[in-house]
Amino acid sequence: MGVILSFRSAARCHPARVSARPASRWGALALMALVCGLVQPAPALAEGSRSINEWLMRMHEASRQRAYMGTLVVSAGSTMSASRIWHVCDGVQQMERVETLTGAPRTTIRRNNEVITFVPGAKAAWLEKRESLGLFPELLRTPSNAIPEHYGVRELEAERVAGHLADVVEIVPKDEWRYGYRIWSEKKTGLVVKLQTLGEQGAVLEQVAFTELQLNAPVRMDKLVQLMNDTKGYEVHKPELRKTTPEAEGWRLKEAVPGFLPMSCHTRKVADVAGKVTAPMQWVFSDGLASVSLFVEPFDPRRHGGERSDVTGATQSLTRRIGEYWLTAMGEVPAPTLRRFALALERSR
Amino acid sequence: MNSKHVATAQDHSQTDSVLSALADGELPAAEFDAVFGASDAPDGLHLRWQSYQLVGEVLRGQAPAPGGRPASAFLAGVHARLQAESGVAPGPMTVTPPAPVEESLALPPSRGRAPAANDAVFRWQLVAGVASLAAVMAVSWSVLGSGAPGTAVPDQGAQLALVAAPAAPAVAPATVVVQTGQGAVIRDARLQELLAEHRQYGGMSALQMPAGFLRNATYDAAPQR
Repeated sequence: MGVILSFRSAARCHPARVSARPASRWGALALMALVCGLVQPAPALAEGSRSINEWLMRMHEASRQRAYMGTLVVSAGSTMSASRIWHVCDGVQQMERVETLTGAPRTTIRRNNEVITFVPGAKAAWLEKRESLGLFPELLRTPSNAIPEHYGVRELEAERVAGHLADVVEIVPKDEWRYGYRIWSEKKTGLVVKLQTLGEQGAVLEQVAFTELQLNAPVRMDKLVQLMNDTKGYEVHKPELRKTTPEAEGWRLKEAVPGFLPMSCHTRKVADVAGKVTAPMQWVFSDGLASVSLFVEPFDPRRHGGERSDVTGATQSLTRRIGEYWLTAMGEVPAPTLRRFALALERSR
Repeated sequence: MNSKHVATAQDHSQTDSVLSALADGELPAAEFDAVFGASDAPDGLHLRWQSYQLVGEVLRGQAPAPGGRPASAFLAGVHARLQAESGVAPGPMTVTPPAPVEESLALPPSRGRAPAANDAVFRWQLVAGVASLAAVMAVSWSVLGSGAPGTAVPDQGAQLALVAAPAAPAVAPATVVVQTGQGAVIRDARLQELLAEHRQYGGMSALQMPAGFLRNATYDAAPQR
């Protein structure tokens, strides 16, 4: 009975409200694609029952409309992390609780796009809004979005993950500027139960998987609300973001990287170790699945060493000095893609 | 006699499972009311809840809260001290613990001396004060060490040496060696900070909601800002 009730209430979830700005950016992309004659016929790889957008939409909706709890494992490079997950939706809002089982104890609780992270060891909590969480349902609903232009989809044999039978879908990049993904989507609900990021020749760079998952679990929203609001004994930090534009900051890309569109640009106040306040600009690009951040700050010889590149799991990073400035580029993309960004970034004034 | 003994043991194990569910935040409201709302709530429930919290804190690797004595013990301590000192029952401030609590009070062995419950608290405050001072000094030391003007930018060799130095183990060093699938790499704290920001504000992906958010909340180092 309880199970049926929670299932019914979960099914009443409404789409999260989305700000118009990102949607208009994707509209602009669609327009650009039309103008440039880049809109291609259905990808040759998509021979299965669903298009790539249908798959992504199904996975997205499943994560929003279910109550579940389980144990999640993340493996990147040689490190492995695990957490306990609770997820619930009451028809108006969805809530999620992530309790780390490895490393320093940390609890993350999310209500829609509002996120609080408790770090008991430091008796500190970080409260923030994450725009990226409310971004994509609208994008996927628009008739033409960028993803099918850069990725194809291939359906493989169903497999079992965490005790559940799952459809296996491979998202295959159409050029060398992005990685591929292999996704296990629970057969009945569409919930993503496992995800691999694939590099060259299909090498697995990083993976996320449930090892145990209880669907339609009796997760109590009031309990999660209580936990989220209980900041007693914690010092609560609210990171401040200031929206800006690359033009206003004096930056531009002299050449676009195929498929990647600018999504947002902001600075934030960060006190460095010497107590001096610096505000690096963060300019974010995305092709719909992969994202790249360009951080730009004044060059400081005491803090910025030689230029170098680095990799952990599927995340690449590289640093480069541009005149009096210091660039740190990061993203879940191949190293040459980041290099292309780094070489294209220049002062506009 | 024997059967009563068995019944009590059963009660205890039942109460324990209820307390365990409560500690995990998984006790349904109806059951909560049934157990804690009942007028015949099991004896010593309060104490057992306290010990649950203590065990939880120890398992999580946290030092037990210094003030973490049963509230009933604290009240009783105040009560006893007041009586001992003035010999007069306090007027409007009378603290009368409820009956089952009074019973649990008989537990402290040093009842004759009746030490103030907050004696221990004060000692702990001193200890905590010294500890936080030490922490501040450790942090300042590392800040002065790494951020002093005129310090040359260390090259990679110097950074490795820095890693090897056993200074201030409680404080994250400016540079750490990270084992990755591609072998050991040098990674600085600043890069880690930007990585956390990239994941928090740069996760612009259709996969963010189904997988990205959970992945980052599970994997990421705590934001160190």
